[in-house]
Amino acid sequence: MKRRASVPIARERLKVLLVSDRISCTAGSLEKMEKELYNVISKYLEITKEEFEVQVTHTHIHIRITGEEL
Amino acid sequence: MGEIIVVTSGKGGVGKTTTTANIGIGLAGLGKHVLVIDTDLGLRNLDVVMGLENRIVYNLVDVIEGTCRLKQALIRDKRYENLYLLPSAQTKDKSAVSPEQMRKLTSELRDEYDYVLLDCPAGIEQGFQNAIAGADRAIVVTTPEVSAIRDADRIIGLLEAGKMKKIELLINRIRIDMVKRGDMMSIDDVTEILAIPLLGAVPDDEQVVIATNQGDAVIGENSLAGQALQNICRRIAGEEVPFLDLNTANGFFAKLSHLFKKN
Repeated sequence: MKRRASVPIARERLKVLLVSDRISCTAGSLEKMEKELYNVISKYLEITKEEFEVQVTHTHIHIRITGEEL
Repeated sequence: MGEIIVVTSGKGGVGKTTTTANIGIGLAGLGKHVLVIDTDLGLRNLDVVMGLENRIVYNLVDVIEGTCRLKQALIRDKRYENLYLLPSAQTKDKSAVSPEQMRKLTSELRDEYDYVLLDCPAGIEQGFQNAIAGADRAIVVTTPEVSAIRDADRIIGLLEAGKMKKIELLINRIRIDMVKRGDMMSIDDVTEILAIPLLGAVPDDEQVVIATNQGDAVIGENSLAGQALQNICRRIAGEEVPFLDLNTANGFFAKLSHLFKKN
């Protein structure tokens, strides 16, 4: 059996790590924050979980809604 | 008006000092007047990598404290007469210099050199604060590893918070064979994660170790790492140089070795 390439694991670990470094919060509370933000926004907008994304950079927190616009 | 460039990484051991030495030598080879400064107080190394360790009389702390004049502390490179080194102090610690003093020193140097390169110590404490204080531009060195990228990201955040005007990425020690089999993050992966402009990528090359053993530069040598560093220097100097296709280079050497095997 072929061993799984290790790059996807590294990328996934970094994704979680950098977000918590950038806004000094744990991966767990980030997940909670994402969920709550989703709940708040879905009160006012019709969105699905798949269209909803929170992106954290050094200076900004972006709330992005992807998918087809109606 | 010269440019003050800090070479930094956060994590130790990713190749800051070797990169600084080679970029300094490369820029001097392009005819620029260059000064490289070792700002790692207590852990002097840039002199050794450049092969100038036997000629040190005074150091950065002597200059800052006024024990000697700047000119007395500068060591002229053995390869280029337009390249100088200001070594670090081996016996002092980080608190011997303040960011304010570094700002003053670099502003005086700006008129005399085309480029002043600052080799930054690892970490994010005062040594880092000193090194970035007077810089206009930062080169963030990382390797394609999780720990190095994590530290590079912290450094980028601190540089952005400190209003660094230009921040560019140098990916060191990349191994195309490992990238190809999915066991090392590619240049694109790292650039996408860190989200700053790419200055260049330097392949992992045993020539770097050989050159460093001898206090020589790998730049200008006929090696992949030497070529990549040469291109980086030309980009720093403002030229538009396409990125080395490490794949093709690899393919070329692979083909060569095939030929030899047949014979």
